Amino acid sequence: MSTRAAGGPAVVVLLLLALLLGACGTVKEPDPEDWDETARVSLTDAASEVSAVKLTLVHARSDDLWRSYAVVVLADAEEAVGKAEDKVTVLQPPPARTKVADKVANLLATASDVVGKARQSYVASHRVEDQLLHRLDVLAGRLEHQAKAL
Amino acid sequence: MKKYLAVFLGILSAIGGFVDIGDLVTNAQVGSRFGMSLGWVVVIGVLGICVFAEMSGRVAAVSHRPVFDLVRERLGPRVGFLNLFGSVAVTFLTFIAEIGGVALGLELVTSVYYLLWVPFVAVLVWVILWRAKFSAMENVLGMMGLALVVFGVALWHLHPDWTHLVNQMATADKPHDEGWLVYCYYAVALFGAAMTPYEVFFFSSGGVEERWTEKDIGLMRANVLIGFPLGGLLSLAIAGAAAVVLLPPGISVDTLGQVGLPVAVSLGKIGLGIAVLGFVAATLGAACETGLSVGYSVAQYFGFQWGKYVRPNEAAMFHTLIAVSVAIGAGVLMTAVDPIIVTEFSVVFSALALPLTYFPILVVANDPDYMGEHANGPVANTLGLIYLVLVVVASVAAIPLMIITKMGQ
Repeated sequence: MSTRAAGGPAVVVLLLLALLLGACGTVKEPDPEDWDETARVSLTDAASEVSAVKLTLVHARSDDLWRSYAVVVLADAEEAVGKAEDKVTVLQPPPARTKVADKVANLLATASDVVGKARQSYVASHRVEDQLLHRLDVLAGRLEHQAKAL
Repeated sequence: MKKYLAVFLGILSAIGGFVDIGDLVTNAQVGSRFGMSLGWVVVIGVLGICVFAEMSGRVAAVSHRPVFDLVRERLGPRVGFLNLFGSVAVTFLTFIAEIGGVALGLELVTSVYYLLWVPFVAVLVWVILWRAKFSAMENVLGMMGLALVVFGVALWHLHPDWTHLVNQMATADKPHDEGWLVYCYYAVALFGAAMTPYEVFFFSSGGVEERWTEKDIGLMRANVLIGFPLGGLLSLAIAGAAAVVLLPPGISVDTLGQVGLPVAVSLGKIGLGIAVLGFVAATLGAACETGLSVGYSVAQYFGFQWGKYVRPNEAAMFHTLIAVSVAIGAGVLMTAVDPIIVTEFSVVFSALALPLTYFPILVVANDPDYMGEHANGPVANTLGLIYLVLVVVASVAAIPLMIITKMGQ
């Protein structure tokens, strides 16, 4: 048997050992920095969608958009905010981030709720209330602020 | 007079056919996040596609054979197969994204969920590729794609600070909250979107379909050197409109609906209607081009009869390949994969495959046995080599940047 042929199984065994050792060294706790990054991206995405909803509603009210187009943009935004919320809430928050995790989860849940209600209200009545636009504006600001704070 | 009309029509079709789903989405994303600071990449990308499209068009006009056919003969079956694999994989991914783009465009008009449109769009694409004449398909869809000029009108109507936009572009002045790695990721994506491989394969195979000869080189050059840069201006207009309307409120584009919002803000319903017509026409045109390119590439490599200039029963394998591609493409979309995500992958993988596509073209265009007196001159070779270096850099950087930045997050 040549040296080269004998070296093959040894390399495979070493690789398997390295893999097993790697598996033994799994993380015990979630990494705070990873969690921060995920939360920051989710909050920024949600802020972007909330702002898109506001822009769409403002121009739907001015009759710049036809209804089907506005409904699709609003429905897409609702779906995207839901995904952003899921991305964070499915993660186990690190112990050092428990409080801020609750805050982020609540903020994203509010965003999801407000965007969903905005879509439902527009589909049902075609009317866009000033109060809703103001709420979206404030919400986008809070989401951005929280993303920067992380 | 007839000749000038042909040149004019060719240029208009080239402009309208330049933008596809990759350009629409990537330019709007970049404009909404980086303003015009990546506009220089579009300029470099458009010049690059002009260089290689001119070469491949010249090869088709002189040799009367498409590039893929010659690559296999000149570089051998192994290199030819590598070229085939890289190009067809990316072109097929783009094909899926284009079909999805047409469905998303129809969803915007009707509110009917895009997945319900996918089978209809797939059948429509197949019927066009089966029945329509090559020139009719290219000209009609190219002309309709000109509707995207509305983005330029919208940008003008928004009265932007032109000095600021040009300054952003010239100085690569990115927003402070965006990192350089993400900036580089989007630079590679924009470059990939501008230099999509299928464009040169479609262009050279189209030249053979339309029976170009050496006399048509002038017409071909007019299409490429005037039509493509003007098409590139459309890309810049899409990015500019997004930069003016979407960047200030912090909206980063991730749906086709958001791509059209700046036009609605600027021009209202009529402008938006024209933009959506442009979305549907540009993506339908590109779906036809990518679908044909998949059939062209595989058939040319394996030596099957190909093309729309012969009867379908004489090019049975070519048409079977197209039909199978349409069916698989629609099937992939029916898994509910997001067409915008497919688009994002397609432009990055396009950057990855660029050297596989463009190196063989440079070799063939330099070969006097095929090209005679029309082989590359010093200018074409210098530009070709510069771009070869650029495409290798983009190709090497594409996947690491995609992983490190988590696709531009």
